Amino acid sequence: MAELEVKQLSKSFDGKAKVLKDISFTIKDGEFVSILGSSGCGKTTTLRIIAGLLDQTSGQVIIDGQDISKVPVHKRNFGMVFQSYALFPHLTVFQNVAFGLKMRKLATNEINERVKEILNLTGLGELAQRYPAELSGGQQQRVSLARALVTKPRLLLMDEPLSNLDAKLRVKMREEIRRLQKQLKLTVVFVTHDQQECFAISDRVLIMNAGKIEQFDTPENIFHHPKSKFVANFIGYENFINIGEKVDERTFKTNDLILKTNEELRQAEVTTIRPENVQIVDEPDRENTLRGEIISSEYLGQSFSYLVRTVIGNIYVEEARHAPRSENDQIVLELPVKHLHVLYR
Amino acid sequence: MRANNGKYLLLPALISVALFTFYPIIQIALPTIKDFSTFKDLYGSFFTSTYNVRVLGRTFLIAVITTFIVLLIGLPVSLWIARQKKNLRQVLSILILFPMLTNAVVRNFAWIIILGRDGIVNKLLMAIGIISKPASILYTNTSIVIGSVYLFLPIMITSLIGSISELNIEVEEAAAVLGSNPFSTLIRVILPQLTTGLLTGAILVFAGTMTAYTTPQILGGNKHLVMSTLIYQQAMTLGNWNSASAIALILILVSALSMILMKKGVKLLDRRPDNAN
Ligand SMILES: Nc1ncnc2c1ncn2[C@@H]1O[C@H](COP(=O)(O)OP(=O)(O)OP(=O)(O)O)[C@@H](O)[C@H]1O
Ligand SMILES: [Mg+2]
Repeated sequence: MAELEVKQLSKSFDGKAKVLKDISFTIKDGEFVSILGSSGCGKTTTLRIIAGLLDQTSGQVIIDGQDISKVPVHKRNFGMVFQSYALFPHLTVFQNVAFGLKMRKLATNEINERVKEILNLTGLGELAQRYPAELSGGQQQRVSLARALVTKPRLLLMDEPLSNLDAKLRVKMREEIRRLQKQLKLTVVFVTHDQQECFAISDRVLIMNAGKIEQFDTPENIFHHPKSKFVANFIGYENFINIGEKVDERTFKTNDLILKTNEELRQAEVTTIRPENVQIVDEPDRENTLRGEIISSEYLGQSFSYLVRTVIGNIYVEEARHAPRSENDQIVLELPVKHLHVLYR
Repeated sequence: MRANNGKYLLLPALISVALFTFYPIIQIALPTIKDFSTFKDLYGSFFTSTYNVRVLGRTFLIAVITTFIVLLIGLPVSLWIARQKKNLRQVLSILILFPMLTNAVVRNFAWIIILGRDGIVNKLLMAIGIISKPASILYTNTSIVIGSVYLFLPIMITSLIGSISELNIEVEEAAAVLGSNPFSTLIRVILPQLTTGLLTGAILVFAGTMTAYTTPQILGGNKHLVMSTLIYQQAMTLGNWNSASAIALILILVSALSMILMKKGVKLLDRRPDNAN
């Protein structure tokens, strides 16, 4: 239950190149924020600096207006779920979960009560007397989660806590985390590189690339209005169309093709569209249409994905259909005006 | 099928171990238990002689104290070394082993010079005013303990560095995030995970000190006999071979018994399932 502010945070290891480059963001009290980014972009490093496990090279970590950069880890009163679970191998599940409460010197009765409650909530009731080595990866992950949640931390940091669960359990656990977070009004920073997961669970998503923030916004805004090519690419926009020559505020011409969008072009150079938003249509002479030839197709379960050759380059199209179109088919594509987004970076 | 066949590959090793470990012991033991009166005579006379029992007690005590001191020094040192950057860690690990590269006799003579009446230790103690005239440190139990600690510290540290570097640092970090200060993390998280390493080190040091010969021989003088020097005296000076054999067997039994007890004690502390480490 706290507001977290990170101010101009930079980090370099042993004087080498910076892995975090002047990062600033604020997470509101009770907000669930995910940090999304590819491997090695600095997610764990950011989290560890917030937790106090790592010293920043410069910048500040501020909780409720108070600079805690100098406060040692064990006095910060945070919760953390590690990428490697980091359970105590010599303690049972019960003792693992009770550890934080013992450190807070709670009465034995209360400890027992709270541990039992959280173990039942995370479906670990039966396993209380087991040791970590006797648990599956998913079970260990839940213990790690329970151990962090039971202390009701003012800030909960999670480093890919669901990465080792199977798809079904993953969805169940993320709903559970979200429910608990709302119930306990926790402020959460959740690191992941699963786009779907973080969109489903977060109030806001912070997208990182090579130690910098690319975009920090609600899932809806990021999904519909990615700011940069990196973000667009990261969240599944696969078609990038260069803005060749501006015709007016919202119209441009590329390879003799006139395309319109609902967004202002300004200084932008690229537009983008998701494969599932590209339509295959019959009449060739509507707005934003172009001809193409199918080069290859792929079955996706719910739909088919085609790679289509056009005058403006290859375009990915997804179409829900029972039977695939065949290769070399000549088709007409529409890039609907409202789905063609301008990328400003 | 395959597991079954593989078993036989162990045979040569097993036979050599049996031959080299147990055959000599049996050879020593047999003459002392060839009939009941010999047995009673040899072992009875050992335990009725207060002198001999005192030697046994002294040997045991020196081993216990040495083990304790080695643990006390070895643990913080190895924790420190194990957490250094890779290069420094490697250099330090090798430096730690350096004393083991010198000859045991030379090493102990060095201690004679250091601990003697005019040695650096006495000079230092007098300089800071703890004592007014040279104390006799040399040829006492203390000098044997000092020599043994010096002898076995590298083994303990090496054994512990191995165990410590296998620990997952994130486990300690998790403890810290949960509110545990560094001391509490040491006691509640690091030490419990090191029980196996500590036990291995302690057993090596204990058994080594119980049976060491050169160090007590040189640093203990002839007034402070331990079991191994007593055996030598019985066999070589007095020509009392059977008595020496009996003492040797008593030493083996006491050492083995102590080690089993240590193992049992640690089992009580560390109730992790076996596959946890
Ligand atoms: N202790 C360290 N010493 C030197 N470089 C490090 C250290 N820890 C991390 N790095 C570097 O910092 C960068 C960011 O690492 P970080 O662990 O934060 O990535 P991440 O975003 O969490 O990646 P992943 O998704 O794979 O967990 C990487 O390039 C990594 O190589
Ligand atoms: Mg990471």
